[in-house]
Amino acid sequence: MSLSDHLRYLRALHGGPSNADLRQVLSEEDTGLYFAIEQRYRDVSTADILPKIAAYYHVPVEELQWHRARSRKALALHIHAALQDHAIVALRLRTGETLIGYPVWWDLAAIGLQPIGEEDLVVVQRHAVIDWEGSNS
Amino acid sequence: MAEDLWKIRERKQMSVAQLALRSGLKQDLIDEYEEGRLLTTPHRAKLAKVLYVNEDDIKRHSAPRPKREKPAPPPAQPKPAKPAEEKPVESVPEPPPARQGQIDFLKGLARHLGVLPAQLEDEIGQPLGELSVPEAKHWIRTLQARVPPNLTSLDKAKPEGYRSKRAHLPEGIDLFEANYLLEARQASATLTVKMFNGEAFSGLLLGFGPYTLTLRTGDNHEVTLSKLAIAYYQCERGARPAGGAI
Repeated sequence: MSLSDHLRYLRALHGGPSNADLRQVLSEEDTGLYFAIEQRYRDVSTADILPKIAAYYHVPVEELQWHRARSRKALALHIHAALQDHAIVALRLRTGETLIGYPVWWDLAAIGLQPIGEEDLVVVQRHAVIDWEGSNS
Repeated sequence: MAEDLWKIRERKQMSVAQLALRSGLKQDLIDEYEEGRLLTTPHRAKLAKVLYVNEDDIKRHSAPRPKREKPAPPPAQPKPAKPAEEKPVESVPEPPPARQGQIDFLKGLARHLGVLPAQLEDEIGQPLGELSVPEAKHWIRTLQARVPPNLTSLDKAKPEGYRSKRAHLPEGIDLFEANYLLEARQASATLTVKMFNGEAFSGLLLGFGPYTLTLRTGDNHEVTLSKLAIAYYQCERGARPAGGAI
């Protein structure tokens, strides 16, 4: 799961603080950076903001760094390579489950996965994929 | 007591276009009815329904609306001769100072190229903080031109012999998923949805949008689920879409 998706998840878990709420804790510039990460999928070059966000959400900064290393593009690249090579992927989801199968398609929002031994296609939301085999673990 | 069609329409604050859209009649036809054409019984029923009146309340022959008289234009007054004016000398406005984002971007580019901020300021000939917007743009372009073209992270990550099929990848649209859901809805498929918190919903797919799915569950309730909270879903056996192929 990318840092963008994880921040969105954390924000939802914390009652969905608004821009104004965040601006009270982070500075004006940091709030801009925060939304650049969360809503525009930007990988900010300065990681100084991560400890501030981690403190706000009461999570370790390592958690945010871990997600930062798992961008949506990296997942897309992994799925696309598996699609081309007809290879199996293992996707660990936010629910705690791991789905193993062949990707059939992927797009901006979801991955069509054909689980091994099952007939029906599973549509996995990309923002639900916490980790995958071959990520920078 | 029956009234003219246009009077009822205007009382209901509806335009002819709106009435046409709601009743399914052509706009020109409604215009003709308002001008006095004999209103047919089925059309009177349709119009009465969307205007929330009884059929008998609408006259079969509407009297044409009286033409509005245009107010007479005010008498023309001779324009006073303009005094000869000297053209003001156009002053060139000072360009605004560079935005913080531009300066940060410049610093980032310099760091990427292994150039220290002091070295960059020496090259530019002034401190970064004193740059104007156009100057910052110029230097951003100059530094970007120095970045080797094959240094993007995606290029580095591409495996040997990688063939891009970018043209066939709908990155940026939700086409595959939309096709899958469209087929599921057309097949009246039952969808089983697993949420982030482990909760599961199962029901007939009634509709979907970019951010939501709406199901009718077994107890005949409609549930709208936010995709942000959905982990995955699948159609139940027997109503399986072809997989969103395009």
